Amino acid sequence: MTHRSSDVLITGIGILSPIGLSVAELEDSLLGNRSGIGLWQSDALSKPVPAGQIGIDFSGRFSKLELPYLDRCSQIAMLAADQAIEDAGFTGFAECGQRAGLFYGSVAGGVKTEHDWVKQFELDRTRSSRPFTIMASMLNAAPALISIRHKIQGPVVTNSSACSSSGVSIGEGFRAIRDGYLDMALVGGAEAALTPTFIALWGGLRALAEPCVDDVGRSCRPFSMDRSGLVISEGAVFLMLESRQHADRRSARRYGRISGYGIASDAFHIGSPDTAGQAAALRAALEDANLEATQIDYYNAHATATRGGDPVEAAAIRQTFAEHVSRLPVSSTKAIHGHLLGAASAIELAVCTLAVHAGFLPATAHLVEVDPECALKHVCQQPVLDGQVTHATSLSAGFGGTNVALIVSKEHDSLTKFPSSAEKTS
Amino acid sequence: MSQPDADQIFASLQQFLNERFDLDPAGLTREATLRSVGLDSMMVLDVMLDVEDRLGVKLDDMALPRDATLGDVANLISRNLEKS
Repeated sequence: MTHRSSDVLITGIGILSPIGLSVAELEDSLLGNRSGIGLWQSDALSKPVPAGQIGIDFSGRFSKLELPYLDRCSQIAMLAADQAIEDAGFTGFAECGQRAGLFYGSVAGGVKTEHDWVKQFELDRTRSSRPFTIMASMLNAAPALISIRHKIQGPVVTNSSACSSSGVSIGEGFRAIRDGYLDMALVGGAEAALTPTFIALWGGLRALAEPCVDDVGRSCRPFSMDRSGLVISEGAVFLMLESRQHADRRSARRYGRISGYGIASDAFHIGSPDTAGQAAALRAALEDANLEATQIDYYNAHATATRGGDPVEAAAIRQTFAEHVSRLPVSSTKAIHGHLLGAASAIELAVCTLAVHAGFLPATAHLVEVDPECALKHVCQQPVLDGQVTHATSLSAGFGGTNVALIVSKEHDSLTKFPSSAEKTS
Repeated sequence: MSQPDADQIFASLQQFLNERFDLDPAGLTREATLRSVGLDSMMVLDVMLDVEDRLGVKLDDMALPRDATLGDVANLISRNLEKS
């Protein structure tokens, strides 16, 4: 039996994404179904691709002494981390010593810096890089820089398990607090891989969506009969997690509580998902949270809108939730924010957190005709605004077969940050 | 072409650090330590590489004392130019 010393509360959220540069903007986009997907073009590629873009150059937010170390991935990670910490109203990691940690996920880290260097090496025949290049391109650059800026002195851990990277990071940070090793942790992920070489890597897989002719914002269509593939996005999302005792001591407001984490590997194929592994992660999360499948009120799907992937997850949902599947609202918000890769789990857990807090069911935008292989109780096209959500779950499935399920639950406490829908209307 | 003297080298270093890192020239004195103006060892190395490119020389002697000052960096450049 695991020793459980504490509930783990979400006390801050920071986000830079194609559908919002703050938690308030994220909520507005979910409620208004605003897509952050547009055309992305490079002279090096033969055609434009749909991509989720933030569209802002953040380099002006850093000094010239800092910039040499900062790939765009680190820039957006640092700004999202700042935002989460500020949102939590917290200062003083230094006083926490080794009781504060940082758990981070990314797929490609400083890939633009690395690819630019390779280009200099191969084309310009440059034989020695700038001294900073190796540090700017490494996968753990962003968490290192965040830990230095905020004096986080406990575990600073980088995880890379493809599209479940930040899910593992959130889960491991959650466990570290729950099991008494830490009082608080900044958890999340970042990705800024909109470079021609990286996009062409995905193009090689023939997995990218075609631009929607009528409206490029509708190019990502999870679970839909006419889905054509995934849409790569950039973004960074962090959540501040704290033990209940720590949050109570400083009277912190809170968004919700992480109640369950399940992780399971397919052990099946490096590039093809497997229903059994996904279902195992979902069961593990339910068990971890001491919840029955029937208690889950909303499911945010990994569903990336690929032909092969979506039906596998739909089968895992049916297997896990059995007869409850006819009552379980499901959506994939990738339809509007696209696939944030290393930050995908983090944005989707933030979506679940808002669903629990504000009491609504986010939709799968543009879902008109559901693929029969993906038959579920879909929240189609428009969010349901009067949904009561006590427990929401999110699944992420990465290449390589690492599956992560996380459950966020309503925080029953007078300090709750947002009123429930019932309270809003009373 | 005659080689720049020590004052010219220091003035060039000041100007370069101002342009490159937005550092206030008033704080860039000979006595100021690299650490005090916010330059770490890798930035100093990068500055040296730029000096090599600008002057078309190879700086073979890159040894700086512990907690080096900007004056030490200017002296290092002078030493190398004298040897070249």
